[in-house]
Amino acid sequence: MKNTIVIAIMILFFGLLQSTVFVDVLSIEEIKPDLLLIVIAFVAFKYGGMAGQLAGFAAGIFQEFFSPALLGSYAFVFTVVGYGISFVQHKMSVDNYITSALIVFIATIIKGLMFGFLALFFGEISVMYGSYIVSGFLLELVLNPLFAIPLFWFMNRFAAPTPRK
Amino acid sequence: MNGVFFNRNRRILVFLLLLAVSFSMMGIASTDFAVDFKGVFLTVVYPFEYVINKIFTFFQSLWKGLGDIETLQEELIRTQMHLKRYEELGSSIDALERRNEYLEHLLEERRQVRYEHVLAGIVGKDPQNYYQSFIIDKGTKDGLAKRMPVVAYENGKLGVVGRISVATPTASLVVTIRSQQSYIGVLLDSSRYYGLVRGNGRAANCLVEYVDIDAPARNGDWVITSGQSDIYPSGLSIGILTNISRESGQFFLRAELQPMINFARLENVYVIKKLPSADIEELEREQEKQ
Repeated sequence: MKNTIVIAIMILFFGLLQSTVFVDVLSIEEIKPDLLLIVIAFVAFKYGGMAGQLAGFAAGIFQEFFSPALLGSYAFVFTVVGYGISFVQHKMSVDNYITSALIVFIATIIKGLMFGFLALFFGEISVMYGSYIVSGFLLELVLNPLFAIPLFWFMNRFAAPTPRK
Repeated sequence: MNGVFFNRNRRILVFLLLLAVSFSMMGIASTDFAVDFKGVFLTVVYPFEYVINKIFTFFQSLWKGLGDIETLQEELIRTQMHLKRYEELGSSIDALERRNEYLEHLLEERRQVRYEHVLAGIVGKDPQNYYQSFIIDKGTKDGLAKRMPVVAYENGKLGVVGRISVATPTASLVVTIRSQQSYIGVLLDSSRYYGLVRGNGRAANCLVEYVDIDAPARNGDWVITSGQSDIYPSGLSIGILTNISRESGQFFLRAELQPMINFARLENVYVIKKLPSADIEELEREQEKQ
């Protein structure tokens, strides 16, 4: 129960933060770090696939309400990210800085691949996909892992311990 | 039997269910239902976003204020010296003239917006990149409505920002010209050739389409609204042409548009209280269905 509340607060907090002018300060060439992606990667890595995919779905829906993005697209992508990242759970430590950067690097690649997959089906996504890959995606590959290091540390202070199996 | 199967495969089943729901949502996202749903959500979330924005602005101002104290002290000393000099001169006419000039400039800026308008502040921006949308602090209570055009000043020139996509009583979601949902009928200002500007979604520049290949267009030419879409009044600046290319055998040239508005720096916008005529809206809706 405590985990659910903490995850919900993290999604709400970073989701709202992502849509304020604050994140603009952190942007490079108009590309800002995807804070919600980092949160989902953390949740999936810390609490496993079920929590990761549910958090991913909720965060995706939450983000779509602030954005003109196709409704359901971020829910889909973040769900896959949440599910996918859980496969490396227990293999690495969440306290390790390099691990956190690596996890979010993988999450960003999954995000790029999944948008590519959706671009095959939905015209709205295929229109923007080419330019996203050559500009936004490459910068996100650098920015997201960089921001993952302090954010993982921050979230790990508040998160409940990983449940024992 | 079924219970055992579900328990064993619970994670993958939930995963597939979530993917199916996401896919279905994408399928119905183009209907008005999805947009209204967004409006309800925006109404609920807006107060939180407003508070966070205010808190951040407060701390930003506080931080800036602390950093500026030294400069302010120096300026205060200089101002006191100036004041003394003016008092000695026994006249404050210069200061009054400068103040008058500033007020006239503001008045002129407002006069240039020839339409009935509402000044709005930006309280939230697109969570993703390229500033495809943002939230303003005015809504239906201030007379705003969906599809109203939004403009802003950049270096003293009025330019198109976008249009209102969702309007709630206290806030509105503005879709910028960079969004792939944005289409604007345009005119090349120098040659008077018509075309269409479409948002590129994931790039800073927009796409310019359907401009005749024989049009004498050059990089740096201004692009203005043609007034054909009925959302945007005619003659508003949008940006300048760039990356023009012509391929033989094609009817239209290929080009990009660099918006004149710097979306990263945008703080305030003007919403023009102009709605498309009901007939044209109906025609556009039918065209979208086809």
